[in-house]
Amino acid sequence: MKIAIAIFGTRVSPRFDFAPGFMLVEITDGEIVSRREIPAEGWDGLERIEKLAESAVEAVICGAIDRFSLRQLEMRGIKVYSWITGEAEDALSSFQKGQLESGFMMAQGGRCCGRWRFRQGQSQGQGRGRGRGRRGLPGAW
Amino acid sequence: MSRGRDIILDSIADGVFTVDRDWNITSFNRAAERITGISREQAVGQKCFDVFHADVCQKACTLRESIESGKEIIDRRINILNSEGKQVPLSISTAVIRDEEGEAAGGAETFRDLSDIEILRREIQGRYTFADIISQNHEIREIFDILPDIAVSESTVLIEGPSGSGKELFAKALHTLNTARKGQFVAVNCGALPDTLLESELFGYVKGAFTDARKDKPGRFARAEGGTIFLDEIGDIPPAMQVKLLRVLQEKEYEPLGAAATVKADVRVIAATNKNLMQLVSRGRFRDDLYYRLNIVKINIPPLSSRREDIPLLTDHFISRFNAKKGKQIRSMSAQAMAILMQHDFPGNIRELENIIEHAFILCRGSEIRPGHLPRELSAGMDITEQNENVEAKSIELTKRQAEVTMILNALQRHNGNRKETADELGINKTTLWRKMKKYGVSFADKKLQ
Repeated sequence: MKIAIAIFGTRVSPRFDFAPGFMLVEITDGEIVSRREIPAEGWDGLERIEKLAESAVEAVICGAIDRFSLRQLEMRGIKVYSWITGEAEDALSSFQKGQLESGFMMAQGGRCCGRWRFRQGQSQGQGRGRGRGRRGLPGAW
Repeated sequence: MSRGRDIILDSIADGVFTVDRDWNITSFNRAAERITGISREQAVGQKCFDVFHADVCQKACTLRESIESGKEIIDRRINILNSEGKQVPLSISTAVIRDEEGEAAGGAETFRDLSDIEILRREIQGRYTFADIISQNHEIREIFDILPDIAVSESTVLIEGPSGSGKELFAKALHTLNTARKGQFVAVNCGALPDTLLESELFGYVKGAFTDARKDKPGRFARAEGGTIFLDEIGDIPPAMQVKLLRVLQEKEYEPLGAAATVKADVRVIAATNKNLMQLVSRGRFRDDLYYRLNIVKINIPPLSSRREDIPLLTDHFISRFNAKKGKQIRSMSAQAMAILMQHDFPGNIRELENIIEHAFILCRGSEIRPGHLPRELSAGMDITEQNENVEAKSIELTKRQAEVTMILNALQRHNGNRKETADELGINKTTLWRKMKKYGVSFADKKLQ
């Protein structure tokens, strides 16, 4: 199957509709067969969705996503893993192991070190898992 | 020091967060929690962009600009996605934080929620998008799903729906979604104009066309050039106009009154009606060739009475809109008042609901809309008054009943009326489903609530 990870530097992009690029990964029997990065700068909302659908992507991994894009992707049968934060590689290995779920905060090796919980939701739960590695930070200064 | 600082920050109405040199959030005040929907416990220690989700984060970070230039940036307009995936417009200001040596140690960002101002601005400019159409109803959501494709298709669209159901809002969203159309959105209510005026309104006239025509006047089609014209109540236009309109749609040209030459029109036509056009065609009141030209894509908007699940959502929407418009701070509608609304049939659809909320805004002085603030005729015949001691229990019963009816109807629709599958989804026995349908008078065929 083919999946797309919205990327920002080496991390999962915090926002689908403004992600500067996507990493397209093809996985067969749990192994990565190919991967390439495509720039997405300047693609507007619908264009993004159509291009991903054209590339026959079956799942999208991203950070926050607006409701319109989410609906559009799901309507095209694309599964969306949203609210993923951390390194794209970690999210990818978690996905390969079949462990990835929406809301995961990624740690090294594809471990989940915490989950996003929201104030407006039923749970006002405490956040686990703060601070992660500092590698590959996009634009650390 | 951090506790004292937190108390001060929490007392500020604007959102505030600070970051260290690695973009990790070090403080996050209460207003920031409210605006983003993310708690302080979750936010602190995370990367600011993973919490803030601003449109500028990945390209032109304002905080970075401030820190690199050492200058304060004030009132930059951005938008973020909150925890519900909703866009929130903000005004942000950023500044650099320095340590004792004067070195940059991080940055601070304050932000103000501009949602209210944005609501008013949109109202003035009439730029509505998808996000303004509020619905959980599956029929409307199916329309949502095809709307972007319809918008860019450029074909003529016919919107059918009862009056007050939001046909113009859909038309505006179609126009806004089609970014290739740079021209204006022009709405014409064909039913409101006398037959004799309609032609000159739509197509304009040239000087000397009739006694009082002292100079050229462009019509609405000319104003909508390169944009979209919305012809509301299309079923009301007289036969002579129908022919002219057909010509615009077929040949993309028209003649202003009294003009010798034809004018080319690059205008997208969206027509709407609250009548059943097909019926008018069969009665010979509407030209069939025009009907087929208009009816390339048809959108059917259901009446509010068959999408009751949207009443609470729409109520919340109107409350926040009137709060912005009237400068009030009403928080919600009481369960009793909501129960009255849920029982109402809304012959005037969403516009009627809007008027009811506006009425309540005039009477309500507190933070909650109560039954007494609603127009009297709504609760007439219902034994609900604020003095009634049983009111709480009754209204809860009503709401429960309503919720159950809505759930059953939605499930039935999802399974095309298949009772076995519906009962399975609801986790009840098929007989129980039948009993409940009978009790509430629910039948799938006419979807009406008894």
